[in-house]
Amino acid sequence: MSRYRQLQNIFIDRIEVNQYIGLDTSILFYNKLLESIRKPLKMILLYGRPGTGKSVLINKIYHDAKDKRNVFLISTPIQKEEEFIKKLYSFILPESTIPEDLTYNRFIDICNALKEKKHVTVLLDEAQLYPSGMMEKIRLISDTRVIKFVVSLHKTEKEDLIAKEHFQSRIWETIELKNGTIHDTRMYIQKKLIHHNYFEIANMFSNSNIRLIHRFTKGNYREINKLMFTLFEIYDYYETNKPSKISDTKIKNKYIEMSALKLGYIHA
Amino acid sequence: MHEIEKLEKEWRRYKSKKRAPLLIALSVAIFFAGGYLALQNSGTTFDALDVKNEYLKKSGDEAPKNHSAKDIYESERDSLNESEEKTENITRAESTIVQKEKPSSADTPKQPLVPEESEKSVVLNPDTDFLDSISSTKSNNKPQKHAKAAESVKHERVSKKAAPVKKSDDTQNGEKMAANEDENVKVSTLQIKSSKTNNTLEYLIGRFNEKRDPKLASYIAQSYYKKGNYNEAARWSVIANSLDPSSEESWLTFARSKAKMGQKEDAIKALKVYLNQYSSKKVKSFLHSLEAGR
Repeated sequence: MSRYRQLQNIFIDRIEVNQYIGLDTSILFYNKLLESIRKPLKMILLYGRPGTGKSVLINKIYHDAKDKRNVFLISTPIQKEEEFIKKLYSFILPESTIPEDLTYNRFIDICNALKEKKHVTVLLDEAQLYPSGMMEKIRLISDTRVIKFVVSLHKTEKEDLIAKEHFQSRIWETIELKNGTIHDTRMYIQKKLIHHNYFEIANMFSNSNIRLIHRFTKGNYREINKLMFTLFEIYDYYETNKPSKISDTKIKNKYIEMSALKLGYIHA
Repeated sequence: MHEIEKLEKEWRRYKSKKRAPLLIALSVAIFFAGGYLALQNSGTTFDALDVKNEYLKKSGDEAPKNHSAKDIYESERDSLNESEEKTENITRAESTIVQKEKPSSADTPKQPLVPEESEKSVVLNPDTDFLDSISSTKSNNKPQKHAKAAESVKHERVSKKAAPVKKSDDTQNGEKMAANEDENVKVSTLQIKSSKTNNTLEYLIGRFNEKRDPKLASYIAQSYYKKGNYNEAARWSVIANSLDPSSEESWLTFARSKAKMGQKEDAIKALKVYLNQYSSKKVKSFLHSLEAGR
């Protein structure tokens, strides 16, 4: 496998703990979220545009705190209420004790019985995908104070309204994740490359390259991943077929622009 | 074709599209800058004066081709209108005298007057005759001195004889001039010329004071230069130059005047200063001639 093909793999967009890059802003959010989890809150809202790093952050928190603080993660929304309730039950009591006729009301009774005795934190990723009826029930479960929810959802006007309607009175902490700055973009690319021991590739990116990448991606980490993947795909082609057209010491803006063309950020 | 190569082609299109407005803007800017410079050059050079000079050199009666020169001419004509109205007979006599005095000038291709413009040409005659006399001083100082001497002698004669001429009205003058011998006629002609020339320069200076036109200042400088008044010529060149420093003619007239006054170093210095900022074959050649003759 060529060097540039390996580099492509680094920038495949996936939510893994090792994908978490300790940027200044992400470290700040990470600490803020951990601090919020320690507080006796009912709900914590984590929101931001797609690609701002919510899922990676939630995964990182889960990975780091699951053993110490009874933190659980539901990364994919469970649409069926019965399944969802059973999953929550498994977080507070042994899975083997789940009653067959476990309903929402019965679960609320169980939670009220466990009040002051049990505290768990459940991280709900992609919470915007839960039906509004389910969100209402989540809100009522949080009132028992047995389960604290960290709700991660995309920020749109509509979803903002949902968040306000369902959680306004209960949310004590709100964390908004935003796209990265130019500095974040530079750190993200370089740290990711250095993390995989591609020091010489990390050095090939000039300020001009970073500015261009930031302009096309607006500092959105998912878009940066896509652009970098495409860039190394182009480099891989030239390295294999026309090696004289690429330099080993610097990245040409031309290839960044070609990547942007391919991804539709710009048009000929 | 591979997808990446297609992408590269697409990128070339993207770049050319992106550069197009820049190129257009650049070319438009260059066009306007060129136009502006051209306008500025046309405004600062003395094309009009060049035409006038040529006109002065070739013939004294030819109508000016340039607007500003024409303006000056018309203004001169206006200033002279009064005397024209009065001295129709004199001007007729004068034109015949001019023909007698300068048979060679009649040989110039533009000299013959168009019948419809006879009045205008008659009007212009006196001034151009003056300028001819100036041009003769430029080409050769001796004749000028001679002419001046002759003029002073004649002037004395006139002052002795002139009492009836000065006092008499225009018709009387005309009759006398028609009847007199050649010498007498020449004396009366010189009288008329000198008075009109002074009026013209005065008028031009007055006009300059109103309009502050650098071309006019330069024209006055040249007139003084041709008249042999190099000090005034240099002074008016400085005035013209202060209004339009890029004017080649003002620098040239200044240098020529300085050279005539024996201040060649100043002339050379001025021409070098001009050449540091502008390029001019005319100035260069004059500078070379000055340096060669130093």
